[in-house]
Amino acid sequence: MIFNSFSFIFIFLPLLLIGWYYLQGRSLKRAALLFLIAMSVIFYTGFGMTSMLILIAAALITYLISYLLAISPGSRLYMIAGVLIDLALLGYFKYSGFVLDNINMVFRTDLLMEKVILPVGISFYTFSMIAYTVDRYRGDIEHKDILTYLAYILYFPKILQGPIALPTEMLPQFERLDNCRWDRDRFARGLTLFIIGLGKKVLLADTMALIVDYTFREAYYLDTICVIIAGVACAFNIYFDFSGYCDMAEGISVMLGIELPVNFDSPFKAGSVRELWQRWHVSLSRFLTRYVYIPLGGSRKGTVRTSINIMIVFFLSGLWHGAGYTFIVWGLLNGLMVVVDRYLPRVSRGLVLSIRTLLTFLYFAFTVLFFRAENMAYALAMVRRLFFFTWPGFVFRTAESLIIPETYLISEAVRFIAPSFETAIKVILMLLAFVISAFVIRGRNAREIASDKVFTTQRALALSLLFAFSLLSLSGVQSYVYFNF
Amino acid sequence: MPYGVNDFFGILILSRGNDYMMKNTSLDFIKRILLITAVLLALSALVTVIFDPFYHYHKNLSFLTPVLTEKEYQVPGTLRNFDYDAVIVGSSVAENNHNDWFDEDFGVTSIKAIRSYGATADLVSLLDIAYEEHDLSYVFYNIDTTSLPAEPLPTFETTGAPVYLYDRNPFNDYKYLFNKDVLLQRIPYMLVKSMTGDADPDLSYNWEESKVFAADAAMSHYDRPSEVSEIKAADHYLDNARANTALICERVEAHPETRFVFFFPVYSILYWDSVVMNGDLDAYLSCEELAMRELLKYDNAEVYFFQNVEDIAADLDNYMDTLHFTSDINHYMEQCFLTGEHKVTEDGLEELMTDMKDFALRACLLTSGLYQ
Repeated sequence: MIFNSFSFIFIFLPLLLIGWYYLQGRSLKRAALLFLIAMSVIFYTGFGMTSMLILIAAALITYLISYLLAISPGSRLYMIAGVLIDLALLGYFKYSGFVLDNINMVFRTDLLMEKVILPVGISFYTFSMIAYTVDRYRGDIEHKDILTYLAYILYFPKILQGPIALPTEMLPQFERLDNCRWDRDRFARGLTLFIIGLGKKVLLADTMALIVDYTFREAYYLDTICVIIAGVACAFNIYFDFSGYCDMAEGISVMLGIELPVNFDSPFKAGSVRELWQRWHVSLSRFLTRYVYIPLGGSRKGTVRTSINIMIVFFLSGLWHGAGYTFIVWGLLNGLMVVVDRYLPRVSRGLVLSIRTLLTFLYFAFTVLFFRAENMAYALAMVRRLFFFTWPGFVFRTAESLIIPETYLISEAVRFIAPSFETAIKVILMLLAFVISAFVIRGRNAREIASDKVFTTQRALALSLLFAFSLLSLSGVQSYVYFNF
Repeated sequence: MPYGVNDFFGILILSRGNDYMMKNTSLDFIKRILLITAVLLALSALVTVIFDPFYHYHKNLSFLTPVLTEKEYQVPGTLRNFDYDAVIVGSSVAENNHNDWFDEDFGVTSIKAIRSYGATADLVSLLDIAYEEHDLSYVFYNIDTTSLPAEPLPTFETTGAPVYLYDRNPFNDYKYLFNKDVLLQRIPYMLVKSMTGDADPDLSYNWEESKVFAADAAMSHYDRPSEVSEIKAADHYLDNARANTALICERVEAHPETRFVFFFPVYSILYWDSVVMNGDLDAYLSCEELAMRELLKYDNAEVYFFQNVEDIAADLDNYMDTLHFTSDINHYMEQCFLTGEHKVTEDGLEELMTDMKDFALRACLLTSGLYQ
């Protein structure tokens, strides 16, 4: 079950909210917590019983480590064991194939292993478990009762794609469950966030995905302009996909009265790559800073070590996003520019900021050529086209890949009235999709819109139209880019 | 306070800036969002039910010609809701049949029940849908060679077919009723095609237009194996063939009032070359022989066998690939149902299979010559 599905929106979510508010209304807080855990289990089981059992087993092992740390406070052995178990879990399910491929390549062997299923959201929940174990070791949190702990690990709005919420943020909320009763203002805010997020995902991300799928599939044949289109479309696609999910997760959470940490803060408004990474996937950057960068010495050990530490963090970030060299290169390219950015003067306003914002976006769009490419050969083929200008006219074919029902009548009318303009109109429609995307990205973000407490009929009408149109778009939508990380 | 029709129109007035009727509290805001969304979804459902481009709820509106171009979506609905007394059943090779040939020659009103790849379990379930509300005088059933050795299981779900259109479950119809593709593309397409007279129900699901039928085209679709694979035993697929044949026989037996015309269509020599090279010839032919032997036991069934018609199979200009032929070949086979040419008898079956094996081996030799 995913957020952008009929079964979630029309069955799961209403049942959850009714049950939640009923129990909250009667101050049955423990029952409400149990109900939330049960609903989270049902939600996650939708991705397969095996994935569910792996998650439960991993969660219980981490809880056992926490218990042992309660008996032997400050035991480094237990902490390391806990972290290693979580990393081993992540390594086995996500990286064993990659490691084996590399062994085969280096030693010219032909080792094979059975295909390993990748439990959905494993990269997110293992990091939550690592954070819990380390924070227990540091004494930042107490050993919690099993319900509170399970609510933190299993809480369904964050389990698939984050945010990687810290135990210190979430555990107190689940312990107290204050402010979780029905609140009309809060519900309106959550509903607004959910609708905007849904619209971003099914109307914008999935439209851009059509261009992305086509261009990256045809990587070897693209001309220079098409590679630029591919990079920009991919940047938009990933942005709306992840941003849409974050808005929906936050919206659901707000309706429940649980505050999730900010995970996405208009990153394409950033004036530098460094700032972009302070706004994009905020909780991952924070996790890596807290549990990797600072323990490595952070910026306290001189310029060279700081740069190396940054590169290590971005190497890990790349690897976290996917088991492949394309992801590693993507991470390192971003890390490199973050290092460079440290030495560039800061600009806070004016034309220079606008230019730097545009350049930051274009650099990110360049790096996602690696992020999305099937392998390094495909990525390098695209990069080559970028720097050696070619023009075999693939732009028109790319525009034709954008087959969406919204433009069907326009395309057919042009084909009927002025067939010679048929291709041109498709290029115009593609450009229009880019302009709309840029407009949405540059405007106020969903959180800002939802928080301004404007409850006018005009806004209700606009949101209803967006909601209804998004619901009509649910059949045939694609799965999330961030799903398998 | 519940909202009614007046409130909805009030909302529309307010949206123009006339904010005097309703309060702007968060609760009203939530109610308005949910109400307007519900109304918009209801409108979508209403428009879809009225025009019903997949004919899931009713047959075509009286002022619209049926537009039948999407077999996976329209076959179940048309089988349930259209008026007919004969069904043309089969895979893509049966799609180019013109309904009016059958209508005129056999005095029936025919409809097509087409399923990609023609899995037996799929085709008989389409037949079951037809029999739910219709009495059939004829069933013209195209049997593909590969449908007999295949697993005797339905493939609708595994191939991603829109099962909400195939079952009777109203609770999954939302995928049809709340569907942007249907609303913005399928309905306009149906209206335009129907109103401009660009739709011919006799050519339902016909794909022949714009396809190239030529030897070069056919050969370009065939990657000939360099050597012969291990030859499979004659009984290699017989369990599946027996189960698939039983599925068909159940329907023949259950409907003695229907005349069942089974036929094995004529594939190109390239196809038979691939069968020989893959070591499947004996195994496939024993499946076909078993099926024919079983079907011929029924008084209300007749079987036609075209696969060894060398004049057609060896002329690659009849084909766009190894399997798919022009509608002229479809028409030829339909005419044979009238004249009785290529009709199989129990007595002649053994000789037919010997002849077929000789032809297939000859096809292999001919193909080998083409690729040298």
